[in-house]
Amino acid sequence: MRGNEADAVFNRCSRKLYSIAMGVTGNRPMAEDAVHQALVGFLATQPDPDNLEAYLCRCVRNEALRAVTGQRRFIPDDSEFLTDTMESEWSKPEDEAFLRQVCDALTALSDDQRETIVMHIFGGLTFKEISDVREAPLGTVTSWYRRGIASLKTGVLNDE
Amino acid sequence: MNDFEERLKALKLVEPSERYTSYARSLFRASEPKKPMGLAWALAACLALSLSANLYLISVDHDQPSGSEVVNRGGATKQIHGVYVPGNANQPHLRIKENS
Repeated sequence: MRGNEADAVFNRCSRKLYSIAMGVTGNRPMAEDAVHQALVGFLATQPDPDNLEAYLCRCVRNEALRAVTGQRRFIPDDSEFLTDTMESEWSKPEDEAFLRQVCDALTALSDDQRETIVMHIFGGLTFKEISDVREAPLGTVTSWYRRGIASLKTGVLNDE
Repeated sequence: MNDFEERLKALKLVEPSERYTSYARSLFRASEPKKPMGLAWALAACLALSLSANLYLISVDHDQPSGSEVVNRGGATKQIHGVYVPGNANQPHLRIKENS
């Protein structure tokens, strides 16, 4: 039964799925809803893809894109993106300042660059996995990442 | 991975919210095939027992001596131990025991 397999994939990859949706929406409730909606769709139709994990990842991204259709992608909650979802027990004020700079700089990146960085850095997806989810060549994904990281670094350093 | 990336990585995402995981689990639970109700289980068990017992009920003549062998409906050879089932004489049934 594919439902059981999907359950196992979710147990293993819940954070990956979540980060894929977060990379698109930048909004925690929207990201959670996108994952749930993708699961509902899967369980209702029970398709039989070769690679269930990659399939679910793509479904989640599609749902996240659908959720932000007609509006600007990556809509942080009152600039609280990540701060709401990251470890909140900051021991040092500079860590929190760094986090805020990262959030601002992420918002300024292109959609492709931001998604790739969020998936890779925060979701732990490999470039190959991102390439499968995005259905883009591996070289393109690494290019998005490299340029995104460079822009992010510049943005953060300029903000300091 | 350079220092900057390492520093970014240290900003770990927390586990998704409790709602996120609990709702997903409820979706998987709801998708599991429904288990038969207790009554249905009981009926099924009765039916199975009945069928099983029936294999060991054979029709034999009343004068078939105890100790003789008969083949039951399941195809197994059994030895009669002469335990009669009370009932209609026109339907002489003899309950036999396993000859261990």
